[in-house]
Amino acid sequence: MTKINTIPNESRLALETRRLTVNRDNVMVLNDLNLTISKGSWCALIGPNGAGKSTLLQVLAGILPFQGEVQIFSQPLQQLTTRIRAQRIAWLDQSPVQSADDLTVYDVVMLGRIPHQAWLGGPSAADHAAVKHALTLTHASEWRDRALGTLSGGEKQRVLLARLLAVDADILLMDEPLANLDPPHQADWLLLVRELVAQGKTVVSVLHEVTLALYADELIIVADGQVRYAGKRDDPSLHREIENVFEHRITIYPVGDRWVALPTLA
Amino acid sequence: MRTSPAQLKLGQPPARLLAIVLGILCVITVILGLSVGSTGFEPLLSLGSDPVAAQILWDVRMPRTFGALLTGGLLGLAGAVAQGLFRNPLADPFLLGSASGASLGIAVLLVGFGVSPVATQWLIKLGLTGAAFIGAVLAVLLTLSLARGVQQTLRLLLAGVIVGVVLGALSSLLSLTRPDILQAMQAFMLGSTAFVSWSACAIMAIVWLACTAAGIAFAKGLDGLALGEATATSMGLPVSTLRAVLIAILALASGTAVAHTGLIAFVGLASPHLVRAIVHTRHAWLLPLASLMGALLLSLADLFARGLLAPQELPVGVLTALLGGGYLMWLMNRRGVTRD
Repeated sequence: MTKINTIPNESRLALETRRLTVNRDNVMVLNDLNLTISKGSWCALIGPNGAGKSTLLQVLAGILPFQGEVQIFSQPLQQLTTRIRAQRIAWLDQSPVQSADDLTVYDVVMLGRIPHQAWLGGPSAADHAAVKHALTLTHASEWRDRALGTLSGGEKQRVLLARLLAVDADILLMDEPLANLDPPHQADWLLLVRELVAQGKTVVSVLHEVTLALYADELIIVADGQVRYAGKRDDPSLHREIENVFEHRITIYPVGDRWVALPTLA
Repeated sequence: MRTSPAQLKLGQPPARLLAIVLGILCVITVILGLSVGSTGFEPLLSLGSDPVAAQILWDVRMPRTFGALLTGGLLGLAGAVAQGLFRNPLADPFLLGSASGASLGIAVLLVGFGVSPVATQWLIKLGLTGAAFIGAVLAVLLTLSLARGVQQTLRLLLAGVIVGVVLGALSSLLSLTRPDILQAMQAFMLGSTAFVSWSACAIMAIVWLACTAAGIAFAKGLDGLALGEATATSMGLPVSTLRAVLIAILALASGTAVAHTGLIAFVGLASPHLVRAIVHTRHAWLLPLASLMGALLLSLADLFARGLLAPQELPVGVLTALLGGGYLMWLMNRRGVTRD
């Protein structure tokens, strides 16, 4: 099979899956899942624990085998060369990273440039510029010489986010990017995503903070390995489905022109 | 552009400085090593005028001093590769069973002597070093086959532990059937640089150069692996190939070291830790620095092993185990205090 090493820009869709099925350890995690995500938008994946959201993100990142079809900018994912895939799609893992504790913050963020570098080559001026820009965007520049292991959980998360941004990919897949972030930095993250989308990038994030997910352009509810519902943030049917999928343990209320999900204690 | 001002500001000067300091300390230790023998300390310059002393210097002290340096270099490098590959700071070069494989190789050789004239002839050709090296490499291959390849790190670790225990038990069993080999086996288990020849030095130097060059070539991959295998894959790194190459480096470096000097504990484990305690740097620097640190540690240990009770000699492996154990205890306490 000939591999694709360029992706045309005409596609309206950034991501599309058809009959996507994934088995892990003989358990069907994703089952005939179909979705489309528009280019230049922010899509939040929500759903209960074990619904298959992280698995879906890993498939879209090209790191998990699957059955069915996955298209990136209307090109089959399996046909992209590894380098093109790694340059165009960046993925942020939800697992805490401990083994990079001895690397400096700058070196960790520079790892995001691996897809752009020759195997034996050093970093180029463009690589250094991308790393500095990513550190600025995540307000992490002041720790650039510190070892990752000396930072707090939230600070580490911002450095790993900077590593993701340094890839300068068109599609950014983030699995629970707000873990460990305090409210001001959660707000910063929302502003950052808005800026990325304004630049034409596509952001797909798994979020457990439903109120923050309700800032996204589109929300996709994943449950039992399938898409339960996909809709815009103001869609009343979407709100009902969110309440349903979380067994009415949350209720969504309007606050100004926004929506807030609060726990239902009764 | 290979080196920018930003790079110069970031960790490289300390790494480079540490490399220079370690290099200088290695040279000093080598000079001291050449000056210490069974008669105690003798200034190196005074040995040149005496032909017998010069002969001893060339035939005995030089190969064993350089042998200690190279063995330490191989173990330090293998330790840094093992800790990066398994993303575990407690990983050591013998994690995949090479030490117990080498030990079994030696036991088989010693037991096989005299069984038949043909077998003895073959075993003489093979020699202790050859038997230990073949044992070490076969043990790593056995670990790989038990782990069904290099795909799963945890499986590899478990398989390495199993192979280590089982082959260790087999060596003990062989030793029990032939108590006359116990002394030779014990000498191997304690580790010594006393039997290193010039040809052994040449082999170790070639393996060290090849493994260091390959390690540096794949250092970017080791950095990527630090973020986890899934993230490394998402960055386009060929994780399976990377693991296979790193395991080959690990097997070759640790197998060569153990074959020539026996079991020398803790140098491979402690060297990368010591480097990381001084500088935070990428694997392209960490690997050669850990190698230099290993070379320095083993050269120093060898110097003390020979000089402390001269003309008696302590087994260098015992000394490294004592020093390394002490270092780990200190590290554990320090970490405990930090966490509390």
